[in-house]
Amino acid sequence: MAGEGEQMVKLVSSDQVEIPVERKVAERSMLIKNMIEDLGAPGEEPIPIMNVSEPVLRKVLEWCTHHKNDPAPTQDDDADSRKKTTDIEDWDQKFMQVDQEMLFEIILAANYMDIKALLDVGCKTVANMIKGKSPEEIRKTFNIQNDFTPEEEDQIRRENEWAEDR
Amino acid sequence: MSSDTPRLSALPDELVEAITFYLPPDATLALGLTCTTLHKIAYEHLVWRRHCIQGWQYWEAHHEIADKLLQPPAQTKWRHLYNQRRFTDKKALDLFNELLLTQQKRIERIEEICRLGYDVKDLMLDLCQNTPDSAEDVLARRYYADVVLGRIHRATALEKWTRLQERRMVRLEEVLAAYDLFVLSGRKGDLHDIDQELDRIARAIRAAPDFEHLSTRNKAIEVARYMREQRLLGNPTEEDYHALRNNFISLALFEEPHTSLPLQSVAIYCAVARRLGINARPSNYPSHVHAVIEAPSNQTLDGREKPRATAATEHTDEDPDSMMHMDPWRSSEEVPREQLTLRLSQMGAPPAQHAAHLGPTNNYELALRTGRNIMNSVQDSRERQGRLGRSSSTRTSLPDVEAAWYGMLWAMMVLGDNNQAATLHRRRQCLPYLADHFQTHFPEDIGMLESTLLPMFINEREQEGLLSLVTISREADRNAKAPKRRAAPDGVEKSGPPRVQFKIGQHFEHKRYGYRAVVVGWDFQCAAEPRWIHQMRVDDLPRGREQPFYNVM
Repeated sequence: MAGEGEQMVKLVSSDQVEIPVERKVAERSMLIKNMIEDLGAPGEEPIPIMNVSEPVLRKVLEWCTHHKNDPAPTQDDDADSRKKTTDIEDWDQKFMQVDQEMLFEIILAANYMDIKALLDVGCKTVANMIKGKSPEEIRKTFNIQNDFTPEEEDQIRRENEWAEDR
Repeated sequence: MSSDTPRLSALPDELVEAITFYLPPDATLALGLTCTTLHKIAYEHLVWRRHCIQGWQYWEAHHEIADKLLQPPAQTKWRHLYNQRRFTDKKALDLFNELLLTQQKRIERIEEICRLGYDVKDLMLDLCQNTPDSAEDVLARRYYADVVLGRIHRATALEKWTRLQERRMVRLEEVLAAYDLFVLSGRKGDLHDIDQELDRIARAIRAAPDFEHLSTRNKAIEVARYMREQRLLGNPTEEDYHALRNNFISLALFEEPHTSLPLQSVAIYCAVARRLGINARPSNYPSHVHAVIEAPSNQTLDGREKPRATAATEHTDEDPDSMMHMDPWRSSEEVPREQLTLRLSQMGAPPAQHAAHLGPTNNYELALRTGRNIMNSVQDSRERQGRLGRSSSTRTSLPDVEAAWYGMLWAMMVLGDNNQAATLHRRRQCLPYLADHFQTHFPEDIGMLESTLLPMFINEREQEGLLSLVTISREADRNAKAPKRRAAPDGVEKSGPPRVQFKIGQHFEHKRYGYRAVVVGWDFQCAAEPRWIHQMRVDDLPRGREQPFYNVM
C-alpha cells in the first residue's frame, strides 16, 4: 500500500455482500468519509452501508470511481436567485440510462450516503422526465394514481389559467 | 410494478422537493396536478418564491418585495403572487400586440401598459433584447418596447422630483438618478439597479478586516480610498470634464470608464458612506462640490467622547473634531478646512457666508445644480456638433442628447424655484421647449402633460394653448388611420393566376433587363394612368393589364 489515496476499504451492502473499494472512491460519500475518520484503523473493519443493496451499491460506486478526481463542490451561496440548469454531462447521462426502479434506488442511496453531486444528477434526470409533459402523461410515466376529485382538479386548473394558453 | 417498488410519489418529501427544484413553473404546475401528495409538495411556498425571484427582477413598489424576501416564506402567498404576475404579463403582452397592429389609440395602449408600472419592465426588456432578428415585426417590437420602458422610467423620475418639490422624503441618489431615467432606455441603471450597486460597494468595504473598528474619520478616508482604487470616482480624462455623460450617476457606476463631475462623484461617495453609518452629505461649496462628514452627536470624528460643554457651544460647526471635508473626486485625503476657507476668500466670498458654503446642502439644490450642469453640457455638445458637423458625433453615443435635454426641462418644470413667482417664471421659460420636445420626440408622454403640466398653469395665460395641444394630441391618437388589408377586387383572386408573388422589400435582379432593385409597392393589376399604359405598351404584354404591377426602386 502506497499513498492514502490507494488505500482500500471494505463496504458491506444491506444484503451482506462485502465490496472492497479504493478509499478515495468511497470518500465521495460524505457518510463513508465521516465513518472512516471516526474509525481507528480504516481498511480492516468493514463499513456497513445499511440501506443500500449490492446491485445499487455497485452502481453508485461505479459513479464514484468515474468522478473520484472531481474537485470538491463549492459552496452554493445564493441558490435561490440563480436559474438551475438541468444540463447533465454525457457520461452521467449514459450512466443514468437505467430503469425507473434503479433510478429511484440511486437517488435514495445518494441521499443516504450523502453524495451531493450524484443526488443532483438523479434529480435532474427525473426533472427532465417530467418537463414538457401533461399531468396525464406524468401519471403514466411514473405510475401515479390520480386521487383528486373532479372538483378539486377543476379548482386548481382555474387558479392557473396563465398556463393554459402557452 | 410491485407495491414496494420505489416510486416518485413514495420518495421522501425532501427528495421530491429536490427534484421540483429543477422544474420550470409550467412543469411544476403539471406535476402538482397529478395527485394530492405531489400537489402538496409542488405548491410549497418556497417553490413559488423561487419561481417569483427567477421569473422577474423588477417589481412595483406596492409588492414590497424586498420585505417579503426577508420574512419567513410562509407569510407570503407566493403562488398567488406568481399567478398575479403571470396575468399581468399576459395582459401587457396582449395590449402590446394590439398596439403593434394598429396606429389607432396607440398612445392610449402604451399608457395602459405603463399603468402596470414596474411589473412590466421585465417583459419589455425581454421584448427589447430577445426578439429574434427573424421575427417579422422585429424592429417595431424593439422600438415600442423601448418606448414603453422609457415612459415608465420617466414617470418614476417625475414622481421623485415631485416628492422633492413637496419637501417629502426622497434620497439624494434618487433625485439625481431621476435624470438618468430619461436617458436610460434598456440599459442597466435604474433606481433599483443603482441601489443594488451601492449596496454591493458598501458590502465590499465593510468586508475589509477592522473596518468596523475604525474611527469615523478613518472610515470616511477608507471609503474614498476604496472607491478611488476601484476607479468609481473622479475623472481621469480632465479635458472631458463637461462631457454630458458625467452628469449621470448610472453611467458613472455602470459604464467604463466611470467618469463623473465632482457633484456626481460626491453623491455616489456619500450614498455609500451613509450605507456604512457615516453621516456624509455634499457641501454647498461653489463650483466644486465636496463631501461634508459630521461626527455622531456624542462623539468626535476620532471616536473620543465629546465633552458635554463643547457639544453645546455654538462653534461646533467649525470644530475639526466634529466636521471634516473630503474631495473624493480628486483624492482620498481629507481636505483641511483652512485650505477651503482660503480659497473662498480668494473667490471673494464674504467671511459671513463661509460657514454656509462649508456646510452640507440639501437635495433640492443639488438636483437643480445638476439640471443646470446638464443644460450647459447639452448646449456645449450642440455647439461642438455644429462646429464639427454631424458626422463627427460617433465618438460618444451615450447618453442621448435630446433625451437628456428633455429630462432637464422636466426637472426645471417640476422643481420650480424658491418662491412662487420665480417658480412660475422658470416654468414659463421651459414650457415652449418642453412642448416642442414632447411633440417631436415623446408624443407618448401626453398623459404626463395632462397630469403634471396642466395643473401648473391653471388660470395662467398658457392654459389655453396647453389644453389645445393636449386635445389635438389625443384626437390624433384616436383618429390615426387604421391599416387596411389589401383585398383583391372582386373576381380577381378567384380567377386564379394573377397573384402577387413578391413582397415589399424583396431585392431582385430583373431576369430580362438585368437591373437590380427593391420592391416598394404593388397593384393587383396595372393601376397607372392611361397615358403611361399606352406609352409602355402594357396592352401588348402577354397578359396585358390583368397582372400584378410592381413599384420598384
